Amino acid sequence: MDVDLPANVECVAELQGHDDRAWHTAWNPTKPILASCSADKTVRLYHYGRNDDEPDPGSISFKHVNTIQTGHTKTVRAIAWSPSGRTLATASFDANIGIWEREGAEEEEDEDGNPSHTVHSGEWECMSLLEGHETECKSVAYSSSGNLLASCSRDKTVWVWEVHPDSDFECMGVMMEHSQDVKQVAWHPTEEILASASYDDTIKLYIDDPSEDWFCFATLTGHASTVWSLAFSPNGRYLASCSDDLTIRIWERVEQYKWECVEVIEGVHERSIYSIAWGTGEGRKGEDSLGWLASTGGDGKINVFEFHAPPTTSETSGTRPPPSHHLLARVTSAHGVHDVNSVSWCPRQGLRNILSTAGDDGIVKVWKITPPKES
Amino acid sequence: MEAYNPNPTVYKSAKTIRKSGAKEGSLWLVEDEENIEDSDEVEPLDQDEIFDLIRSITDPEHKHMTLEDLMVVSAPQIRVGSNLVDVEFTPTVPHCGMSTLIGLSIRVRLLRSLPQRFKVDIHVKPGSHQSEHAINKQLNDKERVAAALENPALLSAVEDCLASAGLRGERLE
Repeated sequence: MDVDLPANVECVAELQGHDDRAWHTAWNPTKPILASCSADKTVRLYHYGRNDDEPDPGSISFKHVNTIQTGHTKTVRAIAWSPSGRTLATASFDANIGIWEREGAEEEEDEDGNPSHTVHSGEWECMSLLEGHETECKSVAYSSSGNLLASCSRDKTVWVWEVHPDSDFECMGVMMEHSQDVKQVAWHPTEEILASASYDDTIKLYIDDPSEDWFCFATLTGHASTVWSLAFSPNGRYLASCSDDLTIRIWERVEQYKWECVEVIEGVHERSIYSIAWGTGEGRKGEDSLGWLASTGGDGKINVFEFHAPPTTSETSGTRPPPSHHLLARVTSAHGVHDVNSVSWCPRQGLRNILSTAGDDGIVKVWKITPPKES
Repeated sequence: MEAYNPNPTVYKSAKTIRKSGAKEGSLWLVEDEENIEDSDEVEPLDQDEIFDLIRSITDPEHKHMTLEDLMVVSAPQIRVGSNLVDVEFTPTVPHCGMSTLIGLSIRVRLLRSLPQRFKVDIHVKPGSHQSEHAINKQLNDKERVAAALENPALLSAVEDCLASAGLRGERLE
């Protein structure tokens, strides 16, 4: 390691099994399950748990419990869990979105909604197939309420679907705002604001007009090449984006419908930045903490930044300073010589310092970030 | 189909000329010869070796000719770093609609031939194509490339171009 960084990074699991490039991972928000998807057209599910036994108490172990043969005829590019943790959505290059639920899932939960020990049993079934996109689907995402699902495609469109009972989905809007492929969609953590990143180098933001349809209320320009990935800050005030232009941009919501670029982070990746994820982090954090932002890409690096809100200087009208950030941890050659395609934070209490990555080597890795005990 | 370039200039395929100046028949530059025993070193590649891999790819429009015959590729247009290969190619005409397919064929050939540690960048010669930026962007977008290779028609077209790639400078029949 070339510089002393404040946090320690440890690879806690190396999950093999995909026969081809691993594209994406997703942590179930309510159950101890990690899912991954691949060009091999499967989704793999892993159950994890803390080991309370010696010699390594507190360590986490992962066990492969299921492989979903999705039936998608092409690469499964991205996956997303519903907030309830019951439903998994798959976005495939075959232009379809798959909606998956586990047979008999409800009976196997105890009174508190916790999974029983048979969490890994029961077949995953395709409850619905959302057709409509003309070409490769590249991303899928549930809104924070779980009432809406968004998808995007090389066909340049972003679709918003309303989630009805019994795996019924109704298309609420098709936004044809981008001039090129749409690479990723991301929802605001609390409001029904949708963001999309595109090969046309822009980011677009959408909301629902109650009397009309979904519409684009802002276009964020500044990136000089494809915008690959987006992540809202946990408090919803900021949006991070990463690009083939080798920069990460931080956008701030300065008015209700106005977002401005307040920071450009350069020089932290040498090849295309494919993925970013913004989590709350774990452990000692001041009230001004905005959480941890992880980035990864074609250079095989993982960077983890800690963000802090700018000091709220009273009386200063107009320009507010950008949030401050520093590099907390870095992994080089995270997947050997291979590209790293995605990074995701575990959203579960007590495990928010755990992140997963998917690589061109077909491997999913899990990393634990341990910040120093004292500042 | 209307030809993009019905009468391309054909260049003599010069198999024996080492365009980079490296010694003919040698994988090594002269000054490296005494270090050949040093097997711990990662084997270096030079531009001639990369050129050798792609020179005999069939041109998708002129199927009796190779990329070398048409001077679409040449050794001096290849740069090799320790883990990076950069290939520039020259479409025969600025409106060549086959440029993406040519670039994709070069990418797939190198993907299948080079050690995995190599990252490959491919671009058209600056000023050689009216859609230069769009072609370059597409050829270096891994998601688009991955999707293209799952398209049976496109993959078949690439395979047609690559059928001759193993000739490595020997003549097409």
